[in-house]
Amino acid sequence: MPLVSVKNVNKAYKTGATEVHALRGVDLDLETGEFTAIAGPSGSGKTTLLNIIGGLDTISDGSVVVADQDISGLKPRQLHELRLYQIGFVFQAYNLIPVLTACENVEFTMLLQGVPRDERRRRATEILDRVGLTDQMHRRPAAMSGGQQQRVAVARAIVTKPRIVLADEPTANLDSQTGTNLMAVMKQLNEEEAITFLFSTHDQMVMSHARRLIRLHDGRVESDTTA
Amino acid sequence: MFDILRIAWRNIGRNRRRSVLSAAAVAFAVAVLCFSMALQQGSYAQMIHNTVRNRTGHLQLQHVDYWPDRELTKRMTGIDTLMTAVADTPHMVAAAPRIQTAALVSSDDRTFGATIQGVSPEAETMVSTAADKVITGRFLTDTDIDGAVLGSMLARNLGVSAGDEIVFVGQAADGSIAAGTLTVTGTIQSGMSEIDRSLVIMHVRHVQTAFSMPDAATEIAILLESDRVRSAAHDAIADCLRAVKAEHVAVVEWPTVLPGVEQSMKLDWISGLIMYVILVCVVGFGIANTYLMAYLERIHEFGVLLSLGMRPRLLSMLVYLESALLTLAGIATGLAAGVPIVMYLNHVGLNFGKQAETLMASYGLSAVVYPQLSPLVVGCAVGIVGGVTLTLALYPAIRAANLKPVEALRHA
Repeated sequence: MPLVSVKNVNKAYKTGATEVHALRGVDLDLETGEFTAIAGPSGSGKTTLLNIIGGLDTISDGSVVVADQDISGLKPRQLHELRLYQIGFVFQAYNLIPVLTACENVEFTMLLQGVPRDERRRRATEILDRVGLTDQMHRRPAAMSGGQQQRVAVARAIVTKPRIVLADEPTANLDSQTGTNLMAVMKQLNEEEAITFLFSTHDQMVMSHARRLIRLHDGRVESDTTA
Repeated sequence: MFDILRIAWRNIGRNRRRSVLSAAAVAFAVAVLCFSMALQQGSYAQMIHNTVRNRTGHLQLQHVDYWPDRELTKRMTGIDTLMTAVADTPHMVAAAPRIQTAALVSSDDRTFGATIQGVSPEAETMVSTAADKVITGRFLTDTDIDGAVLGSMLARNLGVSAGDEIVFVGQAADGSIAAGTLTVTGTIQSGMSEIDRSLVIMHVRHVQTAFSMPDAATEIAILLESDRVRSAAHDAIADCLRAVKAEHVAVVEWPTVLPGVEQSMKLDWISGLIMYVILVCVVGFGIANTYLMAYLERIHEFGVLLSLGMRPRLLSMLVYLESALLTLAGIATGLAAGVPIVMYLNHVGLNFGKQAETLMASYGLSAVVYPQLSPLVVGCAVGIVGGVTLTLALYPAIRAANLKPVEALRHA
């Protein structure tokens, strides 16, 4: 059974009187351990697809199974549980909590899970060391560079050992060198920890790191290639 | 929970100027309410003090059927026995027998209706402040059996002063005519026109004789250590009366004798509370606007928190905690600023000046009011400000609980 199974998914938004079709009959399976990029121009449906897989958005038609759960039938409370325990998120604009230090940001999802304080601190320290930010542990986001903040965001996403990490254009706000470094970190985590990554991008460099590349266009899967 | 509290506290520090202004608004409201309510309580204490010292005493012994018709036929007898029976009651300071009745008083060709108050002069000076209010002549002594002290306006209306004679005519307890001649020893000014216009203070023995009620009185006024012990003293005196089998005597508290005083204080307190709630609502909407702004500008961030798996209820609690902490900080600051000011004014008094003297005297108050801080004042000030502010703070918290993650993430 695939980790993620998207079957004939349609998603339509109402914008005033007009109906916008963000996804049209998308089919997609993701296996555990994949390092996959969804590429496509703006408005092609990349973010919508990630949001649907992440249980943040609903579908108009079709079915989505994530970690053995058909998420279209889940209640809001169950979706929160799914996101908390099975999915990690990395956002384009880092979206760290500004009043928390790097370490506390990484601890945050564990705090929501009810992990004891000492255990949280141990795991956060370990994972920050893993992404090369030991010396930034006690800094707040405002005192860190964009690349450092995004590495903290990655650490936050993987520290709870989720089944899949969804990253929405993780390098979009970074310069090319920092973006390359971040991709290297994510790929290393994928290879060494077997964490499944699915990220959206229209950055050629990011696509080159992906082992599988799915191209979307006007809400449809245009191509699906594995390196 | 502690971690969420810590995050909420840090979030307050994001926009320090705004948070300080919000807390200052709460603090100001608490301090103003403390001061205003303490001033009200201080004026009530003064009204009670003046009422019990000028008129009623804290408690009165009366014939069980005396109140409310106050007829002389419903009088107490065996006054000395009753006075002895209650003399050692806890919390009691002094007791004085009185006879209250009505009569016509005349001088030359002028006649006016009067309230006769028969008193035992020495005992009366222990219970009431009537002797302190003499403005011409002097108060009665125990030997002034035929003496009288008149209200200043009555004396003016009768055209008499100390040393002059007046005549009184009334109906005695047995239905006969009560009449006699009195020599004015002085005049008093209570500040309350209805008293100054009609009061005639006579020696109780003269009234007993003239009104055919030997060894009797219509009331025994009792002064206590303070009004706070009134209820306890009431019970203790009732026990004493039962012990001497004085079944015909009842213990009556001053609010029963002068219900208007207590009712006016209650009315003033309640209308004050309503006004305070309205004022705090006006301030509260300003504060609520700040809380709402703090919520609106972080909707995207809340979307991130929901994406990470934070439950809406916990997010709502976080938003509410931020408002609550700010409110609590404001309340603490308000109390820290307001309480010492009120305590200082309680010590030195707040003087409303000469111009207010006459007006305040008509309410039984002096121009200097001593604000009184009490748990009731602090509780009401904190309760009103906290209640209004924390209720209004529910709005952003409820909105946070209903956020949809994807819509929140789209929020710029």
